[in-house]
Amino acid sequence: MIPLNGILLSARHAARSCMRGKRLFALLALVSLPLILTALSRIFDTPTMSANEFHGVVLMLMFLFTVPFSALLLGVGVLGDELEGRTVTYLWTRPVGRGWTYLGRYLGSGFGYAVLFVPAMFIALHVQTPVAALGDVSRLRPIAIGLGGFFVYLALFAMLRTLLKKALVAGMFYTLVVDLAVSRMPAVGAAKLSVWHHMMVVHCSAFEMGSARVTARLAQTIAPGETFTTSVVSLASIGLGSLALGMWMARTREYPVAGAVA
Amino acid sequence: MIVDFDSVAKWYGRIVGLVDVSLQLEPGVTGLLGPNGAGKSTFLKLLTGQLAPSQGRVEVLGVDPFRTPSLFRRLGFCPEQDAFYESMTGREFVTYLGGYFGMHGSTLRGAVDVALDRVGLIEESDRKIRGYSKGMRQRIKLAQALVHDPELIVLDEPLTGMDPMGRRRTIDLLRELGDEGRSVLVSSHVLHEVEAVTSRVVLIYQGRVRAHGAISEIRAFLDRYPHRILLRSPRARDLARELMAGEAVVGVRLDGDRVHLETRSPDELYAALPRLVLEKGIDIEELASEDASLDAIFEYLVS
Repeated sequence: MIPLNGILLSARHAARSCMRGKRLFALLALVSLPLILTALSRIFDTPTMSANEFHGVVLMLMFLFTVPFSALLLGVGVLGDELEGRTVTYLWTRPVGRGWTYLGRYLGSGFGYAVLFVPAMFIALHVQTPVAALGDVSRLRPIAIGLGGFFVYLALFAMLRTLLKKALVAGMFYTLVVDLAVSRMPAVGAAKLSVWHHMMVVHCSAFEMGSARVTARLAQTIAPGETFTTSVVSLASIGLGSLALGMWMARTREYPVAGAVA
Repeated sequence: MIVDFDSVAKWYGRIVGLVDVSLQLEPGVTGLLGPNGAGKSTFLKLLTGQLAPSQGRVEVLGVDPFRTPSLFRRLGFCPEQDAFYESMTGREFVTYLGGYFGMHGSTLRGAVDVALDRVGLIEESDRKIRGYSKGMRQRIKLAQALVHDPELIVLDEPLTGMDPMGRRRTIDLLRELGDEGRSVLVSSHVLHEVEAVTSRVVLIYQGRVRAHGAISEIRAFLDRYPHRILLRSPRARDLARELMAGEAVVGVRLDGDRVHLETRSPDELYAALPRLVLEKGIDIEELASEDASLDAIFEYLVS
């Protein structure tokens, strides 16, 4: 039986911890970047870039920087906060399976982030778009893709923390090497490992405009044959696979807190 | 039987935590005694399912604690480490952790009030934990272990850092819990703390269970070994000579102004000391039992 009560309690606690102290400050800084960039472009009215091109730049910033680094910041804390704070002992001695507690903390962290991310991106995308287009629902799709990608990254980085103490370093490596260097990798399948790549394929398959079209062509050059469907399946596989592995690790692995080695 | 360890061993890589522990505990109040680093915390972490045994089998209230989360509906655990959600108030802390037991609304509020009252923190419960004294932090940990009214309560060094009043209150509470018919397992490295709570102990040293039974039996066992006493006097040599003349002392070693004695009847020796001071005019500046630490007792047990 799924312990909904325990999952909800863990989720609520994790969501609240996103909204506190230095972490809130760091998350606000990350989600504000596209907004600040957009505001600056409006103020200085850059003549060298068309509106569509600028839209692409904002999306790139969101997909390539804001989303993965926010997920890294929160992902390592899904289990890591409780381990480093040594409060995990309290959670592990409740009548709720460890895997479910982990799931609750994962969902809570994602929800907490969504509360910050969605409004910030909504404003960023609409500040740079003519007011007349505000009613266009398709404008919400990049936010949905960004949020979906965030949950995939979050599952991946949270799972890394169940395996490694230095998950922050491993996550940084993934983001900087696998994601950023993906366009320089050899063609054969390398891009399949990149969450960012799949987010771009999903995005570019849904939109045909300006720099996005260029990126879509680039994506096809790196991983020929990748389509909207295959990328969605890949994202779901990485996300759900990481989540399941993280839950399994939390359930079966020992995490001795300080003082355990007597 | 509430706890059953069958040939249990636990290693942390090359470090040994516990070695070949076979032990059954009956309901009631039991003290877990051992010096720091003896393996008490490892024992309790295995018992509360935070660790899985490297070898052997652990059962608590009939189930494997590592794989059976539902056990914790019947078990309350007060950990040793000073770790909290510091931004919460005491009440929020107990309420949050109590919520995991499926209690809601007024039921949960009532249970939290009872637990806070039992540990004497009801008036301080709306203060942030980060502002609590060490003793209050110990008591709020105890409250979260009691909130769901468990039948077995496991406490890892619960008296550490408490002031005398808090210590007295906690000892009374542990006795009370035992009187109510609950099973309590309390660890400590201080013999008299455990003695104040129960007469039944498990002695752990260097990862092994060295003795298990009534404290009186263990004390009787220890009385077979000479007690070591340190005296300091400006006339150490005269003091040693006078003491050797009596029958209480079985060994003497001089070290400057210090006299290290071994005696099989410390009470007789202590009774003789005032006479020496008064009749022989030998001043004694310091008197200490070198056996006071639990380490010394365990050294005897091992030898």
